[in-house]
Amino acid sequence: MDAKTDILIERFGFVFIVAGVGFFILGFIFQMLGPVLFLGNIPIRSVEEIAHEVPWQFRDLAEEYPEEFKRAFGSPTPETYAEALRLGRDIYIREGCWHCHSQYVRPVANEPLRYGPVSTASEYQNELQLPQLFGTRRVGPDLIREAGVHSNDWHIAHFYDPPSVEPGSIMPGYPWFYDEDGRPKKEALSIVTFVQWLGSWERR
Amino acid sequence: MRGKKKEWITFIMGTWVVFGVAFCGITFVYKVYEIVNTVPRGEMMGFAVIQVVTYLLVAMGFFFLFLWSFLRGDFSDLEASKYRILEMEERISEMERRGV
Amino acid sequence: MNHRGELVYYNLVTAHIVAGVVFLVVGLGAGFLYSLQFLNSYPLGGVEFFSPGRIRMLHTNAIAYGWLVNGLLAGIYWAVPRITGYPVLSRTLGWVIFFVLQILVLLTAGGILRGYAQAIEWGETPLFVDPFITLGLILIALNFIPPILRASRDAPMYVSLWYFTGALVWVILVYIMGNFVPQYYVPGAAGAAIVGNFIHDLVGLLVTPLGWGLMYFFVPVILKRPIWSHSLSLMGFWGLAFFYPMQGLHHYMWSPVPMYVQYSAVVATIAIEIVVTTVLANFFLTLRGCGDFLRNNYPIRWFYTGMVFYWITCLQCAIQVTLTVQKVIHFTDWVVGHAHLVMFGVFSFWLMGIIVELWPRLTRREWYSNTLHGWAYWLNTIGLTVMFLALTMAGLVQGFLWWGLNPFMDSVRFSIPFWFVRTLSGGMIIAGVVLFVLNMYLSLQTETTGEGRTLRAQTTAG
Ligand code: HEC
Repeated sequence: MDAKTDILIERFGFVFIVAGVGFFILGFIFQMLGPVLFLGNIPIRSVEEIAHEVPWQFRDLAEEYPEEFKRAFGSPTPETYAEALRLGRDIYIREGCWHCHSQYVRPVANEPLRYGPVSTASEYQNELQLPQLFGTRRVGPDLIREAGVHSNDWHIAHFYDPPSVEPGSIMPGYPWFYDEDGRPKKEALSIVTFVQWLGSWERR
Repeated sequence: MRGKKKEWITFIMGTWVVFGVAFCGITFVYKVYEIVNTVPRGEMMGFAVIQVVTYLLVAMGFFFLFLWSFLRGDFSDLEASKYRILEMEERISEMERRGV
Repeated sequence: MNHRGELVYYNLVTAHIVAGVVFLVVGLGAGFLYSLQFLNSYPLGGVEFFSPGRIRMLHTNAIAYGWLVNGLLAGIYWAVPRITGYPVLSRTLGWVIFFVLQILVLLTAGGILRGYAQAIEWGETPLFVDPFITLGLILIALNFIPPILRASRDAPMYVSLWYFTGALVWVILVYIMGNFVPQYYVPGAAGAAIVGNFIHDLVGLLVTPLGWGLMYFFVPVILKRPIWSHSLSLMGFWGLAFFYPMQGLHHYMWSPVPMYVQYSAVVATIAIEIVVTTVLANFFLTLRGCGDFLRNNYPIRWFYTGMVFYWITCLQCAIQVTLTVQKVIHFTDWVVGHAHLVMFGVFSFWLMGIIVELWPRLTRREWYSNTLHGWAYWLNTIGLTVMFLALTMAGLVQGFLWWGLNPFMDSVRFSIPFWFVRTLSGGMIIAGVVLFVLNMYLSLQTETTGEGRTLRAQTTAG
């Protein structure tokens, strides 16, 4: 084979650098760096900043389940609220809730009527959205405007056995969030706190 | 008979490709028009426009790179390698058969 | 060319195929189990380890990392030395990669069930596994780049090698970008832009280029005729390389991510349709005049069925990516149908075709039964088609019910018949795959024929 040594494009090096690295970086610039810089100057809030004000739902949990709450968190302070939010978020991730529930309201398909105000980017600039929990599938309803839609009791019963409060529901139950007597453990209190936090900033 | 059939196939394939490309092309142009329309006005405009312009510049850069390398004679024997791999496969299979 | 010793490491290919098939069965089983949740008859309800949400993540990860990665690696361990004429860098490294990969997949499965999943779709691999996967990917690149590099010094590269080179580089970059940046640095909407690209690129920049690269090798070799046009195939490659990394955001349409970025994703997605058409035209023109292979030759039949599904998927992509269609179908089962069509109908079909081709040559035995092949093929094809149609229809029903502001539970109730069909068709797919695996196993029990090579002619339907 008469090897043409000066061929450039049909060689490994060219494909490696231009197609492999170059085009990827190009895509990165357009698809990712754009939004990152675009939204970059919205400050990222930490959980502590979010939790500086304890909402009534968290205090309500402390009143309704005093013993369990005491064992799990002590008293409803900003610190314990932050802890509950963090744990709730972790449960949300580990049980795969985000594969069945989305977390943004689109401006189309009557969604503002069904769920509430359209989502804006600044709502998501906080530590609990690291990694983001937008979700891509709605087996169950969107949750970003969930705060205050149902009471704490409803949620406590719902997570134990969804069909018991929502007949025909296909959401799985999570009985391991509860002890043998069906009283909520720390997990149940946290996930309810987390769900009641989602969108609470819109309900003020 | 056979020649007729071949012509027909070429004709159908050709029409299919032409229509496919035309259809895709039109949608593509339409989408480009739409994207131009959504560019935010005012302060943010520059931000969006600079990206689109860079995109086009980079695409053009690559086009000229290819053109240059084509004129240099890079793609003079483009189809050679497809025959080579078949020969290679034959040779390797032959060797494996003897090796076993 | 000089061949000292073996060129293709047969045992390595076999090991990857076996591991891949095991994870395929596990992954399908998990998917089936999860689908029972939608009929409210989940058998393991109330058990923490088998919480449906976790089983879903097991399903996708076992398929993506256990089956597809293993199968594709088997394919390129076979194809790269044969295209280049040089063996991969090191057999030992190959075995190290093999074991590391299996351990990582098992760790991922255990981690997910134990509750260490990471909230990144297709990247639910626990945080403590991620650095090792990155390392593993670098090792894989190290193993495959030397033969490609050497071959490219001899002569211009064949299109498969272009695809392989691209994929080996991309997957490392994609993995690092998708798993670490949104986890630690970029929250919210900008993070979604990155995750969307990760979801997309894992399919588009790892599985797709490796899959097409393998097709560009196996189809001509089996048909014993070259690809119709090599230059057209290169257009396919450059189109994929240029447009694919720019369309990831179409997974988050109408989201709070800046609108013009979403539009650019739509443009790129529609643009790639042109490229896909050229690739498919190329393959079908290669087949012209020897359509008999579709009837007589199982590998070719699997390959071309996969390509038809690929074409349907991509046509669907171009339609569903538009913002108008997104209004209805986003968040619905339509998307789930789309994902199954591409991950199972295209890439799994291709890999099964490759296994049909390679298994007799690797084990030096004939296939046990062609009837079983036929059953496996038809069960899978029909099962998948039914699943795709059921999910697509379910998606439309859900989308319009939501739009019509019906109570949410309506969309669940009305979907249950579709979900029932989905479970049934899933059962068909599993039956097909089990028959396939059974055939592989029974072939091992037959007498060895001593020769691996001549068998290919017999991998034909009766
Ligand atoms: C298999 C999919 C699935 C999974 C997993 C799932 N859900 Fe649901 N969820 C549903 C469905 C379907 C509904 C609607 C019926 C109902 O209210 O039970 C629902 C309803 C809800 C509601 C009530 C929404 C409303 O406004 O009425 C909340 C809150 C909720 N889910 C939270 C969660 C959390 C938290 C998790 C994870 C621990 C979770 N879901 C996991 C499917 C799922």
